[in-house]
Amino acid sequence: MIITNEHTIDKLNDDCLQKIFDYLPISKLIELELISPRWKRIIDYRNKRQISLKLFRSRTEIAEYEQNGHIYYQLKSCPYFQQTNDFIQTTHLNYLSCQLILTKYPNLKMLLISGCQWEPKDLIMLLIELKHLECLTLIICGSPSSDDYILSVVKTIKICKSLDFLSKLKHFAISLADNTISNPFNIGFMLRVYELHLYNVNVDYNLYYYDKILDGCKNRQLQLKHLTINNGKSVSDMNVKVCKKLSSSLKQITIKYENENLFHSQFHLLCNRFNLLNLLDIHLKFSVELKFLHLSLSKLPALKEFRLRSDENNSISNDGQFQDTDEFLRSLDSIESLCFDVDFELSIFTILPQIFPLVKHLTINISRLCCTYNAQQPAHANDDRNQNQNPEPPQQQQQQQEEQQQELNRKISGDDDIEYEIDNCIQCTKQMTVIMNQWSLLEKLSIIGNRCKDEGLIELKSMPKLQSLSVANCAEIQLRSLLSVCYEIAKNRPSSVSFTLKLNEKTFKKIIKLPLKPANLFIFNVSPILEPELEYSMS
Amino acid sequence: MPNIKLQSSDGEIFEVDVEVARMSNTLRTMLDDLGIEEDDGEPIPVQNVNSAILRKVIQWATYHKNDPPTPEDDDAREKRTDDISSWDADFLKVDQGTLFEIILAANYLDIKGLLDVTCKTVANMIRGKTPEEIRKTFNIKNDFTPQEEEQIRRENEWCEEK
Repeated sequence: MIITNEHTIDKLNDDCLQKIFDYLPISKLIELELISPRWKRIIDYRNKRQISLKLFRSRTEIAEYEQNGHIYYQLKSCPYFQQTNDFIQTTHLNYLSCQLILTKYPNLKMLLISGCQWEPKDLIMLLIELKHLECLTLIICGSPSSDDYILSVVKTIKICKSLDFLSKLKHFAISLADNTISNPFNIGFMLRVYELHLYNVNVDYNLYYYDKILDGCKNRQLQLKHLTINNGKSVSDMNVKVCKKLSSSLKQITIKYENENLFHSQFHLLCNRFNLLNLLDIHLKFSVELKFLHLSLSKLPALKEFRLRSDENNSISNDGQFQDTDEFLRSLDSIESLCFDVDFELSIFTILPQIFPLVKHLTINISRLCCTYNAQQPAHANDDRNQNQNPEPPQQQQQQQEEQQQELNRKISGDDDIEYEIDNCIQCTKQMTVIMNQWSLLEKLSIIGNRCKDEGLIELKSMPKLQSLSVANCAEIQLRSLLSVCYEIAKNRPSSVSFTLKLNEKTFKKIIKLPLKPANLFIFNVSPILEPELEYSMS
Repeated sequence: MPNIKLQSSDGEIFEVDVEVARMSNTLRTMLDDLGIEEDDGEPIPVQNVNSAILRKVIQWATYHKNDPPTPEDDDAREKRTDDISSWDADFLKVDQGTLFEIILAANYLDIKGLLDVTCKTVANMIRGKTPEEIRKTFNIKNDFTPQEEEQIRRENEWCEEK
């Protein structure tokens, strides 16, 4: 039999095949090398410019890291992470596999290794040979008392000591399961590094950045721009001189406070000393007062992004101390991006637009809104569930809408397995979105949290500048209503203004079919690619 | 709206809106270079594209002529293949030969949106299939010797499939 090339994929030129391969995850491309010598050649060529490799032990591992607070979650804002969101699954990283990575992906700029079994000498060999490596992340997990973990810690220290050899490495992140490593780095590396994200690694900065060291290298300004400290200690442990040196370079701090007293005595100091900060991300294990935060933040004239997270049941409060005094009303005009993942009451939320009037990007956990309507409305979820098998969004009940809209709603389906119940928080959520409308500059809104309801989202229609809505971990949101709100937003705008809806994997996968989408509406899945195939079929 | 004429490789002449033609970067450059604004009688030859494919391409470009530019964003969106609109999906329900011809035409005419959506469609056909199924689907001959194949398998042994 003669196989002609007439109607096969092989008549595509290399450029076109390359383009198709760009849409496939790296784990799939590895399989595709077996197709034919030509495909292998094209994939080999592509691998040479692959700039990012993430090695995970299992799919469940990456899903766990997706949770808030983990280093992986934190690093998502790092540009190296955004290059690609796929990964390779591997459990063993030995001499041979390190060699293979090196021959296949010689130009890697970013490498993430999570939980892999490796020997320090193999990994060091690999790292040294990767001449372009700029960003390295090591995630060591496991039970802190296990022998395996202790062994990994010993290995990790060896790697940290060797980082000096990697002349291009500027971004380094490491996450351990426990506070077991102290000062593992060499001074040369500490003077050179741009970004340092440390989870459960103790570093005494006084040791690295004391006068003599810094005076000894006059030509070399401190480079550290972004520092993450997640070990229960504080940057304020640094002595004044070290702070002063660091403050000229340090632009971003991510810090976790475990001790309330320490926080109260030192947070203000931190804001005073590092007054060039443009990003401040704090994670608290206790409640905090808005007034205290406001006072500290007002010392940071360059602050563009502020993120506040707290553990469960820890709130941001306004315990009557903040009246309508002048000081309180002073707005923090530099802040454009705001993230609130704390327990809060509506009364707090009401004043946020006054304090942060120029916010363009808001991330909020609506779940943690402490509902004030609870007492007024007893739950009667069971009755409603039966009646509302196919609930129409309330805006439709209120207004007689044209048939077209209803048609649309009928077509957007696929989440019928979600049970529907009336929750008391609907009113709070609604009121929240009404308040959000005061942020007239708001462009990006991210909503997180399990208890968030879709009814409140209807108000989003009136936000003039909103370009993108991202919804993550919101199991309660009805995909149908969410989509119909987004369809409507997109339809009511000029076709040249686009609107983006970003969903996480779980929600995204519930989309089975879409009715004709307005051309200016874009829907994206922003989770890392977990499955080799997406069960997405077009009707 | 001013119209211009395009001539396919097999000689058929298509009259299209200038705005539609300008969605192709290749034609746009040509029009700009030649200073053609509207129909002056001479058809522009589109050498590498036959009439059946050119008709499809014009149909696509006509439907999408008012599309907004895709939003610039920082997410790794290039890799997504699941945002194909239902119109495009219907439009691309064609036999493989035609699909690949459209890809080649989109590449030659430099129509980014069409190239994107067609490449995504092929990527979706590849997803979830084993190498053997892919060879079968696309009628690709396996030119590897068993030794070569074993060699590649060994190279990739460190990454676990599935």
